[in-house]
Amino acid sequence: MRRDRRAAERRGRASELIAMVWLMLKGYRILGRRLRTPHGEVDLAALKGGVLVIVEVKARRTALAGSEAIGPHQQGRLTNAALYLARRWRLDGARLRFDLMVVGAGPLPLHWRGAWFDDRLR
Amino acid sequence: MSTSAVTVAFVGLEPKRVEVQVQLAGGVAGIVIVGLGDKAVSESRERVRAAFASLGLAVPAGRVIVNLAPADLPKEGSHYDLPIALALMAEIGVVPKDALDSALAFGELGLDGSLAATPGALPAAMAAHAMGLKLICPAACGAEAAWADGDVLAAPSLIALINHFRGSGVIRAAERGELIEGNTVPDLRDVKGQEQAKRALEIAAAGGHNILLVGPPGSGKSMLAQRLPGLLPPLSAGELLEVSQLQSVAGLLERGRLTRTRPFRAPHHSASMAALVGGGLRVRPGEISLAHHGVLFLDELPEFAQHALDALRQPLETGEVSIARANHRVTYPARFLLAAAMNPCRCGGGPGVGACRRGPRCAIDYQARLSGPLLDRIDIQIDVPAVTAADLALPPSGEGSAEVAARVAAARALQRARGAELGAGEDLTNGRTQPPELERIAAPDEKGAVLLSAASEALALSARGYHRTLRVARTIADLDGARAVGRAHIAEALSLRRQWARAEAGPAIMRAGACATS
Repeated sequence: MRRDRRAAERRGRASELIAMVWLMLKGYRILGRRLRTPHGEVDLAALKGGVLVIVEVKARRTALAGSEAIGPHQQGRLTNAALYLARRWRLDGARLRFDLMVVGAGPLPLHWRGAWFDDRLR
Repeated sequence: MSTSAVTVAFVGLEPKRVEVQVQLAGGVAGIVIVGLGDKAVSESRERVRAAFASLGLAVPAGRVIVNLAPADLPKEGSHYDLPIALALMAEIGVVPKDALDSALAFGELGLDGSLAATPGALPAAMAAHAMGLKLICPAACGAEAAWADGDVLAAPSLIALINHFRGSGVIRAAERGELIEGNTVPDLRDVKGQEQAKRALEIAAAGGHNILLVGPPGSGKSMLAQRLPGLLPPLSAGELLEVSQLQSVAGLLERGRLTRTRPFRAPHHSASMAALVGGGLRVRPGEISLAHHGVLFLDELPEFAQHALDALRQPLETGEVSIARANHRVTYPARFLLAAAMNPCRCGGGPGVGACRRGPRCAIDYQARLSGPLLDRIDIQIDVPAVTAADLALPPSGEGSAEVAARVAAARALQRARGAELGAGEDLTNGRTQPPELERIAAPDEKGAVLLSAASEALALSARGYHRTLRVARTIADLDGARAVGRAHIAEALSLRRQWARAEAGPAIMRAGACATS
């Protein structure tokens, strides 16, 4: 059990690294990795074209499995975390986007821009 | 920094201009639709998002705020998809902003970016025409929308629309659907026997009188009523437009085909009040509005819910129905001819074989289900006796719908002329004439007056019953081409009323057709 967890942890870290490099290649400025907030952890935060992009990285065999790995609860947590980070970085007015990066589903990481939205009125 | 597109919201049949404003703002990614939209409107964002994805377009990051102005007008329906999508595309520069300046967009989006048929295209097109705008609608609605005379851009999909605006693939102007001129209803010739009932139908059609047929099962009541639209004159251009708009809102127009045959609606007796008069969660025209300028046939009249029937009283009087809601009120036109049929009693009734064995009580109880005020609004009430084998063996009658319709048209022409004379509008039929005018136009001659006053005493006619008789007599005179209402006309009108079984009355007034006891 412990071994499995550790293996998963290692795989996750490796995927995040791959995802970060891929994003940098695509011209994103990485603001942080593995960011701890009171609401939860953010895998990657990046900035491109004035848009604060919060990236969730998943190591999965298929894109579908990757997209299924984020439930509504986690989406809500990430929304709050993103708003927290935006405030911390004085990016309050910035536009926010949530991306999903699936590593391991193909030869290249799969970058799904705008993977989910938050349509709640606040 | 916002872009807007124009569309319409329907309050009843009345289109109201709605501006769809789209603005991109900072914050968490998402589409927020404000402006009192219902569920279909708020679900629009999922369709817009999916359609964008299918085109390879990304919904811009940050908060997309969609405002439907005026914000205090409740909005219902799925036709806001297209204006929202177009305004959003203009905002991100996929289509030029000025493309939306002189257009009214209307339509539902599919997940694949296609445009689906949307109810209400005809009134939307007329609204666009009135505002001097071009209508952008789904291709499936093009044939319907083209009837409104305005410019119509009927696109099969969002991508076709983008190509059209960019000039790389022009969409041709929509063509009108066909207009069905001929009558498609069954012919009166098929009915054997029942000469009195046929005559009553003719009078009802000529004067626009409501009619009630009372008879045992199998006497041909439904068959007779179904032939009523065939006796009425075809819809005039104005009426056709009104009827088609209602059908369009209800989503009943198929491939933009309009028909001049008057509508015939026959709701089942389990129909709820909302189904009959309109309403429901999404306010839609009910059966009585769909029967506008046509015939509403209620078979097994006493089986309808009491409150549903009583809800017909107001529209029968005013020709329109108002549905009041907590936050708004809608009005639909509902000027219909009510044709109703019923058995004399629950068990079927009728004299001879299959007669009711439970005595007159059965008929009295059954007929008491109809409220007096409703019956008061039905000018012609007749018994339809069972058909005999001898009737069925008769050769087909020499007279069909066409001959009767010709007489009806002549009688209606007289009424129109009189209506214009009175300054009451051309569509005033005898059935709608109210007492002050009625006494002017239907004053009987001397002999007629004598008969009428004698009859009122003998039959204990109420004021309403008296006026009903006059109205029907006027129509009979019109069918005759007579200027004055004579004795014969009064006599025939008196024969078209029915004595109702009543608890306190003895069997003396029970006529054939009601549960005869001896």
